[in-house]
Amino acid sequence: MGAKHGTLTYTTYYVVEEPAEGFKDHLIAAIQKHAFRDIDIDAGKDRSIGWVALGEPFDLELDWAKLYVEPYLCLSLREDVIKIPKTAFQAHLERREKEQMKKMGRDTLKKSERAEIKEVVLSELRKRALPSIFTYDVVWNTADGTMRFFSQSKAIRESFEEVVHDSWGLRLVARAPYTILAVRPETAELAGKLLDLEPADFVGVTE
Amino acid sequence: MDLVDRLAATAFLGREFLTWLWYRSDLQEGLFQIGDGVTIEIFLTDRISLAGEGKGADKVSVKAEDPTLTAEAHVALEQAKKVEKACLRITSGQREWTTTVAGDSLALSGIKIPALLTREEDEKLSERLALIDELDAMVTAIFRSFIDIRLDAEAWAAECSAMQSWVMTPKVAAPVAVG
Repeated sequence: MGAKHGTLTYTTYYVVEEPAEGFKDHLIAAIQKHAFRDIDIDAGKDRSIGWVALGEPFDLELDWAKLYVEPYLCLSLREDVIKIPKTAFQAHLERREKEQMKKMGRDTLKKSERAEIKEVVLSELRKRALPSIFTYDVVWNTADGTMRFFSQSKAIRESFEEVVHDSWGLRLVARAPYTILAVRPETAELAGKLLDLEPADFVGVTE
Repeated sequence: MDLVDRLAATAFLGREFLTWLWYRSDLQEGLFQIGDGVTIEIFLTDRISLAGEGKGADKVSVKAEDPTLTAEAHVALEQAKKVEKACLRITSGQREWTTTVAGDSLALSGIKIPALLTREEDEKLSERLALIDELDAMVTAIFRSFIDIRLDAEAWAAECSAMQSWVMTPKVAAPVAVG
């Protein structure tokens, strides 16, 4: 579930750079630049990812007043994916190849011809398919530098980290025993000492 | 050592922290002091998972109202397994949170926050986010307490010895669902 309702599951990140002065204007411009766009099927894509308003996959009117709930910047990452079932694709591909061979009066097709037909069939099926829509809430506490991404899935987290870097040039580190200490100047030295520790024995040697 | 290696090299501390939390919750009847003299209660509840060291190690998952009282969980401890994942109930004053904590990452999931005080729709989000911040701060504060002991060789030797006695001491136990 997301930030607005229900139980909460998220990945906590630490933003390792301070936002630059005037970040407010820069942030919004960057969000608008990387706002969600429909999948560009004509360019051969089957996926698209970008920012939308918090919990509103179709709201692309992204401005400071809508996104900022002091001290939190709140928005969602929307990912659309088109998946064509393999069996359906194979069936359409074979039919199209047979049509082409009949049209050309041949029993076989060249590799390049088959590749071209494959791309055409894929594009047509993608245009007919309804994409799956996924939204993941993002909450950035601009006061303490933590950013919460409301998913723990490895794959989408990697996409999220990439979009954040593309949008704002920020580097994120995920919360972990080491980073909880490493990201704060007052505890960074302690983080280094953790590397010298060995796992403890809570059972002891039986004599 | 790059960051990925540092994370891998220190991930075991999360499991030690959760195991230590169980021990201290038992010892202190759930009471923990965090900064500014604030006392909170932490109990392990609902489900606990324990695992041995290394890839492919044995795992035990126990579901019960109080999994820390089950024979299965205690046998797992005696077999040198540590807490890999735990569901915590954290109470501060009249407010209660529950969350599952993963040992390797200290990631929180399935969080239930206290009931909201505000009735204003546009303030509810703020309040929810502030309650998450508070939960994070409490878990981080307790983790810091653990690290303070863990990094003090003398204090940790004493703590470890006490934990070994605790692990090997028979406790109230009843067999329940094991996954």
